[in-house]
Amino acid sequence: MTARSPLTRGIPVVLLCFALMVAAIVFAPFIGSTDISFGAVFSRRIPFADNIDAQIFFLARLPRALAAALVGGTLAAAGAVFQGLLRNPLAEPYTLGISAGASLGAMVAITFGAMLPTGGVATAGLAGAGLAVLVVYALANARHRGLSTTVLLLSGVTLNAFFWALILLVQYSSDFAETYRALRWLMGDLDVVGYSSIVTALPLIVIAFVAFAWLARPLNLLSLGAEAAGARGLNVARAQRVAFFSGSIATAGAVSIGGPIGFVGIIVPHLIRLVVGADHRLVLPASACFGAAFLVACDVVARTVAAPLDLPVGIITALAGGPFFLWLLLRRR
Amino acid sequence: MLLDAVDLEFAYHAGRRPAPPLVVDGVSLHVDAGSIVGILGPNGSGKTTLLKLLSGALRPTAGRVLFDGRDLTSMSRRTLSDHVAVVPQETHLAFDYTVLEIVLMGRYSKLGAFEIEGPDDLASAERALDATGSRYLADRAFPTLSGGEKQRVIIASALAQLDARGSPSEAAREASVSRRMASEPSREASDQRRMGLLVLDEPTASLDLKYQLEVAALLTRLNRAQKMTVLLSTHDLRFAASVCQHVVLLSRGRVLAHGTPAETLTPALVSTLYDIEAGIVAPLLA
Repeated sequence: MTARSPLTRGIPVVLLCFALMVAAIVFAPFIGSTDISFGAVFSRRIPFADNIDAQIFFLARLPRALAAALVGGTLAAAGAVFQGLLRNPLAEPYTLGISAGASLGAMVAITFGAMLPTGGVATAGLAGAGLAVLVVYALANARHRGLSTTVLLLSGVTLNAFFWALILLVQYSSDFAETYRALRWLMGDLDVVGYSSIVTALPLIVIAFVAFAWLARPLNLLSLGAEAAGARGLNVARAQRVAFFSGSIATAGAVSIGGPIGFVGIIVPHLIRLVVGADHRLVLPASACFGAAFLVACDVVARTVAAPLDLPVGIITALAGGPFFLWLLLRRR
Repeated sequence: MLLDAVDLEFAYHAGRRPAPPLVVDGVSLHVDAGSIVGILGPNGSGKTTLLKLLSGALRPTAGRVLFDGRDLTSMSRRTLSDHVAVVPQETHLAFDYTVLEIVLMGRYSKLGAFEIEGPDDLASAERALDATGSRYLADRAFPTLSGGEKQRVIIASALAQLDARGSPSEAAREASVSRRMASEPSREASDQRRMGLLVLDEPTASLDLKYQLEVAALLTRLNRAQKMTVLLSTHDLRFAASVCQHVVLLSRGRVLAHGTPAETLTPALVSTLYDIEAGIVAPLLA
């Protein structure tokens, strides 16, 4: 046995994931259907209004790369939190109906958008997510002093089905244009222009990440079961509430930027666990950094593979990540 | 006396109408420091609930539990976890933690929210792994262990939890003890370290005979070598007879009898406890 915490063994992996994230954000904006030059982007001789390269870089590709990093990192970390909270490897940020709530809000905004102010889709998505969070929490907390993870799961699954029925109902009453817009949103799309959606979601995500940092050790203890965690001195009810609400607001923030992008929140934490082990003090930061790098890379593929068409990034995350994860899983066994 | 329970009563969902039945009904018992006490009873007799009351996981509906003279309900979670460690019947993990990580989880209450385990915590984990003969398992993934190995590792985690050496509160307390009792500071500190209580719920329920004997030997060794106080529940007559110095027979939430194994594990009392004929019980106690 070493004289150092086993935690120290995983720190190089976290640093590597961080480096990958930074490299992805820096290099992704230079890749796309239109070539841009590094010199032109940062040239002071050409005014910004006339500098097409700088406009593509700063108004289209950099915000998109930042949005991808923020959404990918948030969904991956939130996935790790929900898996730890629910003690269930199949849990993901969308298990508890938060994305279905957000989707319902967005669908209502798209279909009945004339009655809503500008930017109403993201706001309506956040409102729908908030509604889902409150309903699931009220149900899971109703008969217990703390959260019942079983009731939490069942409530989430039921609410998902209920909200999806409402989404289909709203879509049924939409015209073709609205249905197409709604479908694109549901596929998960990072087609952001400028930084407004990032700035709107950032406060939620920052608050959630502060909570995630505190949650790392409690989530380790919760893996032993609520009673064993309590016997080791953990305030189980408080840890479960913090995990539920921080994971939920992080998911709501991410979904408000990019729609319900699938796969990142379930696969990335497992991929990271295969490398660093189960300790959430490593899993959370490594998942956040690698999730960010992964979604930025997937978005580059989505932008370029069928250029000038933009594929929804949700398709790429599943197509690229799924086989890779299965390969890694089979190789390890 | 380390633990003293007085007139304990407990009902799940107390306060509802009609009044729910008492699962624990007027139980009084005490656990001396350095002893092994077993709570024996059939399924549904309230053993696990009583253990939860005695370890502070549940609050009694009536009565009180005193640990070293202090009411358990007045102790903070962290203080309680410094003195009482619980080993559940079985431990299932959702993820592949290593054995060392599981044992280090016992140090949770000794560390700040963002603090990383230091040399004291690692030394404590090593002592716990040595005490349970599990050091060779340190780097193994917990789910890959056998049932008996898992039980030993969870006991090691509980020992690391009760090991006060290296914790900030213990350092301050030892400094104060040293000042007060300059003549015998180390002996006093050593005695205080043994103030922990190890609580085990049916520690052999899912183990085969070999591992049952292994756990019995481990508990006896911890009790003799480290003066560890042990409180356990079981429905295994032979395990109780071989390990416990004091036995409490629990029937429908009430104490049927208590005393040494020789006084309590008699064909007459055991046949009453399990509602079977005395003639069938005698060979089981042989």
